[in-house]
Amino acid sequence: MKERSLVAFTLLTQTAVGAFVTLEALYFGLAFLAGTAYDDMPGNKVLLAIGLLVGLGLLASFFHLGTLANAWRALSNISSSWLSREIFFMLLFVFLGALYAGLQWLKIAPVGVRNVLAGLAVLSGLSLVFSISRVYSLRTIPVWNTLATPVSFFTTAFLLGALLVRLMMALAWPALPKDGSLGIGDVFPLAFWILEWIGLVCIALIGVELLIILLGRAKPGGRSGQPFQVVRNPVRPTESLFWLRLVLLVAGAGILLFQSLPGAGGGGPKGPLAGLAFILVLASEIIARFLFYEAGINQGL
Amino acid sequence: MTRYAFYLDTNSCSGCKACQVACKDKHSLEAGILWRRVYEIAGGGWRRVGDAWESTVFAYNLSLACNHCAKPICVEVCPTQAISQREDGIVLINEKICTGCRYCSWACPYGAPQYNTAAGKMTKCTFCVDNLDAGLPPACVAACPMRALDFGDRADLEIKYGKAAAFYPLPAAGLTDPSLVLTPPNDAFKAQSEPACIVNWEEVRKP
Repeated sequence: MKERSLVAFTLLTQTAVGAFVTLEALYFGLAFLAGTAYDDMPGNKVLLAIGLLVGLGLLASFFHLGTLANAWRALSNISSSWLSREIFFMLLFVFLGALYAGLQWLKIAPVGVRNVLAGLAVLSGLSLVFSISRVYSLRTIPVWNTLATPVSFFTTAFLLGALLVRLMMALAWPALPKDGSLGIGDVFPLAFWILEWIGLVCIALIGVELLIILLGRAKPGGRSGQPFQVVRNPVRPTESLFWLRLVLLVAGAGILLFQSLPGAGGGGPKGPLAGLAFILVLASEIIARFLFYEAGINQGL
Repeated sequence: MTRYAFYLDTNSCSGCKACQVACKDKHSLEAGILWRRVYEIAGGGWRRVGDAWESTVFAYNLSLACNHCAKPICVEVCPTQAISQREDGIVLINEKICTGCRYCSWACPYGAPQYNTAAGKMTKCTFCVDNLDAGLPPACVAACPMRALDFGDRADLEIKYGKAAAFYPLPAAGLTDPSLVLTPPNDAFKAQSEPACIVNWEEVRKP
């Protein structure tokens, strides 16, 4: 449990990127399906939450540093260090995201300009998640240097981000007037139809995670598999934590499935259950990230 | 141009740790930090052959510092460019620039960069550059009572002692191309077929 600050940094930033991508996908979907731009839904609150997540993520990353005064130098090695690139994309995502959120909040720029900014922020966010995964794809740490690292980092980002947006929209739903006075009332059923689809996508993403877990465990390990991979009095993988992560993930998928049943989730996903699904999956992802660090740091001499 | 490398004859190494202590003493290293570490490897057991029991027990020592690799992954990954390689191959950390992110410590498969918690900085073997400048050997080499350690130009050492393949628990040499010339232990082959482990892990693990 040594890498608490990095667990927090990676999960918070990945969730933020996932939530941003989901929100923009939702806006895009609404504009596409309804034929007009609907961007003044509770989306602003989601943007605020994303800002909070990114801010907390940055704060958490500082706790990992021994000499904070030199943190600004971390952009010095962009030509060869993925850690420098990660920080570069982090700053770019923060800058573009904040600019977009500001314009969105105040509605002071044409929709076209905001859309371009949102697109650039999405690209920088995806580059950020990719960079985070490359930071761990070290040729000297075989257990991290697999396709599972980028795939699982992106899955985590989209899964937690989508569940967060789904939860916030579900919570905002009852408080909104249904008479169309906001100008978006007519669109809400459509938004929730999209959110239900997001729920189904989340179930699929959980499926991807389960597949990664199964493939990861099926891999031959130990000295016989890789003659020069150091295996020293191996720290027993924390089996109970692993199973807990699995149970939480499946439970989250169960709730999502239940909510997507006809009748069960009529009128969109309900807040409490959507919240429970988010919490279960979040807890599972936190455990998974701790196990990820445990596995990697125990490599090498 | 000389490209410095260390040499270790694992069959001569008695595991006395004079090298480890000499290094710690010269550089006044904090508790827990070992720029040179002696790994004690042991393994094997008893194997039944017909009606008899045959011993496959083995043990050897591996004294490792920074290998000042030709492809130093620490230099590659350091985000602040605090780690650099000189023309003579020696890899050094500029502690003034280091931000203490410990990324080099993860990346290095030899456990060479070590974290000084009190200073919030990474530290590592300097090949005793001050000794070299004064025409003296590195402290570890000078302290070895078995003459198991040596240093010099990598090409010369390779001509003198040959190029050995990596053995347990060393990672594949291709990863970083370490400037480490080795005479492998006679029992190195046993570590490939018998259970083996580092028995003094508590002593040598990364801080």
